[in-house]
Amino acid sequence: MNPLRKQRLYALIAVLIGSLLATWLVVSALSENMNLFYSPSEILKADIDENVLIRAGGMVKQGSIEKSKDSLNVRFTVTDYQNELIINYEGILPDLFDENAGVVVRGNLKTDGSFKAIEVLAKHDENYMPPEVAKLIEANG
Amino acid sequence: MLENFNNLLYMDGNGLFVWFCMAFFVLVVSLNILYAIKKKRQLIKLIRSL
Amino acid sequence: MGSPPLFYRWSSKIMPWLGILAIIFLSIGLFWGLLIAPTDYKQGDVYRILYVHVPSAILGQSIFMFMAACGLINVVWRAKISGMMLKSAAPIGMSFTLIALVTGSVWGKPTWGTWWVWDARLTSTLILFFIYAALIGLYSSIDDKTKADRAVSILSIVGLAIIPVIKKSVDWWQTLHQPSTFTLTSSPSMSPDMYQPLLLCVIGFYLIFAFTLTLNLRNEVIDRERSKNWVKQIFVN
Repeated sequence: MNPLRKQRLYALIAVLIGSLLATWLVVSALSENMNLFYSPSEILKADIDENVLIRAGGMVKQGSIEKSKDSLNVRFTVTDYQNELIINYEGILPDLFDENAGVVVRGNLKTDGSFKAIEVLAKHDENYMPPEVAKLIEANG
Repeated sequence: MLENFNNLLYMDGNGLFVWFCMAFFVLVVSLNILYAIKKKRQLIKLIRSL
Repeated sequence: MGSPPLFYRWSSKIMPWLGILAIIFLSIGLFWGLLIAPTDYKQGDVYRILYVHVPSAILGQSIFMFMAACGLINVVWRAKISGMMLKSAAPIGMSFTLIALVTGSVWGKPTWGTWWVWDARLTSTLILFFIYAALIGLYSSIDDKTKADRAVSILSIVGLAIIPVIKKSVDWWQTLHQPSTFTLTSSPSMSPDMYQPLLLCVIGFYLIFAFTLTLNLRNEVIDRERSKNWVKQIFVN
């Protein structure tokens, strides 16, 4: 390669490294804020004011969903398999909301330790399979 | 026949979401291609007028 | 391929084939995915959006990598054709990123329960969309085409840093978006009768990109060479 081209190539590599470095700095500075939600353990450890809106996420504990018969009120437990958070919510739940499925809730942590949600989002996983296969896996596992 | 069509359109209830995405893809790709064809026509006109 | 008239003649021969192959792959892949592939055990039929969403997202990112490669060749070797390729690819990459964002949003509503959320994957993809817009804007703001090529080439290399962030966002942070189904290290967490049509769709999307790129590039070539004799010979009888 002729020297001029080599020089231009090195300059470009320097530009790329600089840009990667800058991006990495921004990303690591924002790192905590880039998380969409916190796990129940993180929330219980931190001292969070009652008026601050936060997002909590985890799995809906099996058998914890209690739906009210005459209103849209629902109460369920979100767990990260270490700590749990009891969520109260009034509203329509997304289709994929279910026990043992991921969920992200937005709301306030009350002083009594319960969580009043104003929004419930379902989180789904990266697995896709036909229902028959899912049944087989369940039967064998 | 009509029932078949409805099954196709609505699938298990969320079919319209799926068809919207499909239509949006076709629309955007077609716009890209149509724009390129239009540009070519303009260019040919310009070259002939030079 | 280096010489414009040669490229023009050669591309007119392969372009119809690219178009035909793209239509074949897309129609089989999408027909298979939307109507024949089994339904998902959890999401039901709405998961079929991924047959449009996943290939668009893949293309949005790989077109950017292709553009950065063109940018490198343009800056180091001063190859004009690579600058034209970069310019021709940008609107297509932006279109695919837009399709990924819109279809993702439409998929999010019935599954997650929201059209949009500011999680790391969605936000970084939106940034990619804006980088495409910035590239196109920068290009049109510089009159001298050689200078514009060079500026856009350098910006495409600067912007390349967003690609690993998008790719790893679902592993680095807590996101609403699910982690990757397809990884290099493990077998896909999707059954074969679902990912086979997806594979056809991805190939089809690459082909339609190649087709549209050729279309744009041919326009770019005759635009820049319009006063040359070979162009006149083709278009002026």
